[in-house]
Amino acid sequence: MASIRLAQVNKIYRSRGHAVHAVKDLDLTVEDGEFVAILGPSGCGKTSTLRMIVGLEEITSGDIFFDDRRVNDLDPQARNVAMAFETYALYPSFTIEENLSFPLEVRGVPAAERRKKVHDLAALLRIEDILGQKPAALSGGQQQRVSLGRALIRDPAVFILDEVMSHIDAHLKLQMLFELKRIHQELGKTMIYVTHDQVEALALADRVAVMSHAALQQVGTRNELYHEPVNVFVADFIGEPPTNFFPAELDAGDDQPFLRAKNAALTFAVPVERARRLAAGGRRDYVVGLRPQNLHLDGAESGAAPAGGMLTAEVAINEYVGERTILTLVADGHRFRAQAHAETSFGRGERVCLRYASSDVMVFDAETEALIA
Amino acid sequence: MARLRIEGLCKGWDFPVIDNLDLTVEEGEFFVVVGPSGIGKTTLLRLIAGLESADAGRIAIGDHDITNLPPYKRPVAMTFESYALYPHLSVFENIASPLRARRLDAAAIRATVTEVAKLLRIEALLDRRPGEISGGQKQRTALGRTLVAKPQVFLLDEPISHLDAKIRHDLRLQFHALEELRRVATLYVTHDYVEALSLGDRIGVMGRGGLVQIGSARDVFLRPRSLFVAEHLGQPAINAVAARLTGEGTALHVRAGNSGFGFPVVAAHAAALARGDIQRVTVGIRPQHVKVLRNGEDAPGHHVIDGRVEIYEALGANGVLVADAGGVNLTALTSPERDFTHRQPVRLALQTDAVFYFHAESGDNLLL
Repeated sequence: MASIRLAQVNKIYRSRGHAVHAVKDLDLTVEDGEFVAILGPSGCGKTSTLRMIVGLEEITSGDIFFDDRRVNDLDPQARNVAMAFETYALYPSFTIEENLSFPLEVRGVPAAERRKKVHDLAALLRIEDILGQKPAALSGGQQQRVSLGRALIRDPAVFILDEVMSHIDAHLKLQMLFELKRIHQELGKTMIYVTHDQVEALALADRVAVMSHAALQQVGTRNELYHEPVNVFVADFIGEPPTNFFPAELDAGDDQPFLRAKNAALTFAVPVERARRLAAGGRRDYVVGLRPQNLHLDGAESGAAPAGGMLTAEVAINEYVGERTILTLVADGHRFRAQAHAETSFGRGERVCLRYASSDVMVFDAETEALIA
Repeated sequence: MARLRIEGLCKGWDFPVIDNLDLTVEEGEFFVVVGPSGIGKTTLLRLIAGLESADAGRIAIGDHDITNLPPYKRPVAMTFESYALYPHLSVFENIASPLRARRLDAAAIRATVTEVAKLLRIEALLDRRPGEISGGQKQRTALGRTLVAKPQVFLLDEPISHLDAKIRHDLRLQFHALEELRRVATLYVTHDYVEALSLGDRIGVMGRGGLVQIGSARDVFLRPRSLFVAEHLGQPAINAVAARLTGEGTALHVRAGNSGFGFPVVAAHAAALARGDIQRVTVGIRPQHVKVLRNGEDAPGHHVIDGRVEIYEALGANGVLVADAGGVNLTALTSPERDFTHRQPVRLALQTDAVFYFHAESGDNLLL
């Protein structure tokens, strides 16, 4: 068991005179027993980060601590980290029990203890009934569990998973994610999961660290990232369909200030207090963020109508996707999306009204892209 | 006329992967094949492209039988899941490669590539190499290369499944908007039901041996022919509960196991089920049809049962709740703004008129 602390960690790759700054001044703490996901698009530095934690990659500058011990110069074995990959190599001629038992055998663990460990782990992973089978006979989900078992059997202090779910079929994925979360809760081990898929990160982790362009953008719970994204990138990356953005400027208004989309007649109501702060701040250019979930078709139930505003738009695309319908809308040259009930069905060009609560309007500084609270 | 017509197609190795498959994709139609990994979707595309040879059957495009033509003589263009771009060539040259093969002159090539690149919004990347662009950009480059080939049939293999959610949404819209695709027959395969429902004029659900159901998005989602189809479409997956039907005539009741889980069968369903004199069924309840009631809220027309929260996770689009309801684990879809704690008592409203009943052994939908 261990906590992990990264302090001002940098990774710079050099080749043929080029330097690529893959990880920039990263500070991140994962508490003992915590499950943290590192989430970001390809090329954001998440895999380099993971490889430095494991010890497969040299740290250019900065320190990594397991508990209070600096591990920069320890080789991977000495760090007691286990890493699970998407597909684990299992020995095809061994049974599942033998596959799980083998790493213990190599380390000279006595047979009775090996058997007990394998059976305890099999119970946790719910694979007791397949211990006698060979890998080829297993379903994809069972292989996944055995792979996890292979990594867990050594009883590592830290457990790292690299996109292990990314090729699981969509209809099985959520179930497998919940299963992995249960395993984490029962084991109580420190776990780090690296992925580009927000569903995986949000379903699994206690906290999610969002990375982009080699830098950590925000670490937080799902609700923190979703409701208080620190910048445009996080607001865009977390949530699905992605957040709608409108470049906007402040209009003093007759009784209270509001935001107006640039070169368009679209206006956005913001809560009174925030409008006053924006007006006092003297900034000029903003970006308004509004989530597709927070745009409600007029007439759709939404409880007591809170203070807010309305957008009128034309339907460009009506996407029925089973549980819901996603509308792509156009208003005065701006394209945006709204999430609606599955039964919703509009033709191209139909006009709709969408209501939103002013408290759901996110406002960002257009220049720094930072959230304005 | 360039419709794609497949008749009695067979292909197998140790066991039949495609067994006597018939399918016609009309000119201008966007047909999506959806199914689990490893079921044979890519094999189907490779047979049409000529990269595999059929054991039996016939493939025709328009009036031309292409079954025995070599790949390069078939009027089809295929994108691969792995993009298969030339790493040493620029984006421009990658897109231009089918045109060079046809020996078009330089001006015509430049004009065509520029037009397609503009359509796909990659015109600024034409000088870069595949190693210097993102996954979404590679995907669009591969799509561009397919589009310039001016084929009569497009074959698209999982073109967007492995990209970020944001790019997937944007590229789906591009597929909706691409007029080029509306002029020819397109066969698109994916394991992601959202892509299938969103894009397909018609959708074919692939199971062992071939297509187990063909229909519109609403057909396959709202009227699944079997439990296999229902389980494959939807996230979280449909609740499949082994249950008994008790009672007489039209006063039927669902009871699950030895637990307290159960509900009355609505009259329309009871009439259909009574005809079959069936006792053991698998009840299919979509998570979206399990409503988690707020305090004091009631749900007319629903059957309300008590449960306790086992798992709750708010995700990006919605919240997913798993509750223990009288010994049965039920998954419900909620607004992502809700919050629940472990073991919290909840009231669940089942929309019983939207429930499916499947044969306990065959999995056939008993209401169809």
